[in-house]
Amino acid sequence: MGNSIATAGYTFVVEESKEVSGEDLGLLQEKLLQLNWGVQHPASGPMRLKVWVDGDEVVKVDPDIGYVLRLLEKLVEYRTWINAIVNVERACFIDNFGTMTGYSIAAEKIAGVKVPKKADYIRTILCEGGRIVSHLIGLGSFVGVLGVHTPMQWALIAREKFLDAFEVYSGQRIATASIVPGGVRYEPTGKFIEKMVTAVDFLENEFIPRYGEVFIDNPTLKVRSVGVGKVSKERAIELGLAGPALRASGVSSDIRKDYPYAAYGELDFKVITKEEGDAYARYLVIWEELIESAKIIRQAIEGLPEGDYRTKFPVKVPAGEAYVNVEWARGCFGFHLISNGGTGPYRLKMRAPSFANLWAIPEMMKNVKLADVPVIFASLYMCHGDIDR
Amino acid sequence: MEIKETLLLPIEATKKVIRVTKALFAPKATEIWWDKGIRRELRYRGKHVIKADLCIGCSMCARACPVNCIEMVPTGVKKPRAVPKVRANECIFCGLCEDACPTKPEKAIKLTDEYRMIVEPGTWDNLSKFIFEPENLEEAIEKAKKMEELLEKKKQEALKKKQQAAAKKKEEK
Repeated sequence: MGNSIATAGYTFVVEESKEVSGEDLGLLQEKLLQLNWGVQHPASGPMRLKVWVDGDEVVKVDPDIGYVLRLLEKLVEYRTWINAIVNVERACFIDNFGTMTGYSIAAEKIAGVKVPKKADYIRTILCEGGRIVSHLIGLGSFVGVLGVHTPMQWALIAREKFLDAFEVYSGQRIATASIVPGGVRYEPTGKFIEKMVTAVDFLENEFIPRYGEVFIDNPTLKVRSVGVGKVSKERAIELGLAGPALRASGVSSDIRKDYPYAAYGELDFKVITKEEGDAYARYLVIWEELIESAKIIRQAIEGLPEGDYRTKFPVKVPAGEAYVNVEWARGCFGFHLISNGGTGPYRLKMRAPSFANLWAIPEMMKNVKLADVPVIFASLYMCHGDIDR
Repeated sequence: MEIKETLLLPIEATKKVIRVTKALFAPKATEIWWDKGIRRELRYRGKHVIKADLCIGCSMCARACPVNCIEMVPTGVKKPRAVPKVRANECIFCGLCEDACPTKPEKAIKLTDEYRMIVEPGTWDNLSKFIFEPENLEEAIEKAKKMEELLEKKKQEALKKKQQAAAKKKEEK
């Protein structure tokens, strides 16, 4: 029972405080305890999970987001068609090429601009490079939450080679701002191709054998992750999972294959799926996609055509709408772009895969042990940049 | 034993002297960082260079800037009417201003491979004063003024010639 105080029209209900001691403490231990998993947790990133635990068992989980909200969708409305890319790419800094490609394709659809073939191929190379960079961090951080930090360092060594290639191409390592509506901003030099090939060589010859020997099929890792956070095929579709998390449940959904964009229609690759649907399967999907992406880069470099890399994009774009999906590193990223005939976008709505994955957490984390919370969280492969946008 | 130790003393002393002299001439463990070693690629996006004599004052760079950090400062002459000034602490070094610049073959605003940008002390006041300004602005203005004077002289001469011709025609009539 609470006592109520009426002041200035408001009613405050204050719970009675009661000192607990002696035998009553035993009763308190049986009560639910709310834990704040994050914002300060090393694995959580800038978000908080409210975790209610009964002893060691998780009863309920409630994600609390909004710590890195930057209003990217609103900021795009104040930009021109070209320079909106700097806001779009900051959805997530790790794979910035995927988001820029999606936005550019949407803008080209409205304007009716056809991109030269060379630009398509360069976009493909960059997108796959971004995917590899992102997957490397995903692999490293998954094993990292289990307490082993060596794979993250190995992954960062391999990632550095790709960042070198991006720096040669665009002048920046992370926020490259290199894909614009109408093509790509820079001509791919010989040095860029060379650096990209050396990066892929390092990945295939050094990283993959060494990492695969130790951290794939690892018995300790399997004990922690096999059978944890299981999602069936039907339930995965209902929950609206995206990307590697969806493919690990046996749904072969890949925008690159289903609705080919850029140069993916002309390249040969396969969609990786696993049937188990647990944390370990999601980890393996990321691992095998990494190997597949390296092959795509090699094919795209071989088939790189001659010609222009950029066409002129009009300053004013006719009124219209476009919805474009791209297969980003973390799943299907949707762009709903609206033009009202002005010099910049009227509205941009981004549908982010990590946001979709986040709301599967409350169901997946029911009746698991507290130690499984970081494993499930890391296996869903989320980025806080595109949860909040 | 003591005698032996005393005998060994000069040997140890010489050993120490040799060690110190070696350390003096050995390469240092730490080096000054800006002299070498940092890679700058072909398209490195660093400090801006603005050339006032090339600028035509179209303000395309200011319109292309996504963070509105480029300000067009009026010069007082007709060409260029205004030159860009970049507020460096707001700039995100995306290089879109360089893409937008229409001057050919050399761009008037350019991102160079100069990466050393030091503000000391790094207070807000100092940072807001950290601005990339156009090079040779005064020379360019003087040049433009001279050109304007020349043009005006030519115009006046042409006017005079016209008037004279008109007067001659009237006289002939």
